Amino acid sequence: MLDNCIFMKEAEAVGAAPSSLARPGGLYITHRAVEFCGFTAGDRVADIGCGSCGTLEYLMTTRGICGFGLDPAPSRLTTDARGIWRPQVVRGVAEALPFKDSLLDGLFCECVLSLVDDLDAALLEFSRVLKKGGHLIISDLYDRTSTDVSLPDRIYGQSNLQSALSKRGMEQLLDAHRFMLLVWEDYTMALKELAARLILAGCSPDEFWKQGCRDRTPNPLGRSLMSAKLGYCLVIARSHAP
Amino acid sequence: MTVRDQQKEKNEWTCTRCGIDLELAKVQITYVGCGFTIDALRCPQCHLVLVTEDMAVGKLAEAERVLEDK
Repeated sequence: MLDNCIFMKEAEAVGAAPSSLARPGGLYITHRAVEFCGFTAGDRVADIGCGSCGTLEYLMTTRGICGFGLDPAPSRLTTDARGIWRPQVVRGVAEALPFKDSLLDGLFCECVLSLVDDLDAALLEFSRVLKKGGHLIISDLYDRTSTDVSLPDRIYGQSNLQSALSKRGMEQLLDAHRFMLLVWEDYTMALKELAARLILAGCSPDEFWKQGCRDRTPNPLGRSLMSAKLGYCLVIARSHAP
Repeated sequence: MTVRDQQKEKNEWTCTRCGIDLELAKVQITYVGCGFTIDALRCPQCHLVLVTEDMAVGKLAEAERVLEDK
């Protein structure tokens, strides 16, 4: 466990530069969430699946937030070239967070939840590490085709996309773990725009997503990203709802 | 636009208005409110852009399908 803001001893720092935030909506969705949650300097916020630390850089340099990063493959940095910001990046997965109970004011989970193997375990951990009233911010793919969650072989509305929840499934998942849904916003157009941008640049959206998801195989989406009628959403929820 | 020889390379296209060979350039396009930058042949003087058939039925059509949810 992290002892408050103490560095994890296992933290790995390789020194890669942050990526260009090639994700749906770029930093806009992150910015929108920060504005809504009202994070201020000194707040402790973790980014699960922090990748190249683009979100952490934004949180720390523009908001003075005390940022933590978690990634299963942290080939990332702990400081930028000027030494201005210093995220604490550790190796780990969403189902087993290395943080103390009730440590965090906020938790970002961007493009990650659709890749988590055990959603219940992850949500239990999110609930554990967030302070009462802390904010969980999820931006991810969702299944636009599925509204039926009554089928017995579907858990939380997970469909044949294998990973992407339906809107109703997401709501049920949050409710089951006592998160109060505050915001649900659709950013499917941002997903489409990114896909179109990749196509025009000669890249495959499916390959991009697979790479962005740390090259998991098989494709966690199960089939073509764009033919699967996937949407993209921002979800903000408050922990420990009554 | 005209073509000197359609069998030749793409950069053999010429702008008939300016009489200048087209050059590969970064070109801004917009579609359903989204802006993109693509590589395309453009007249360096009048900035008229050539959309080749390959591009129209290839990348542009694919991007259109994605944006239009087809």
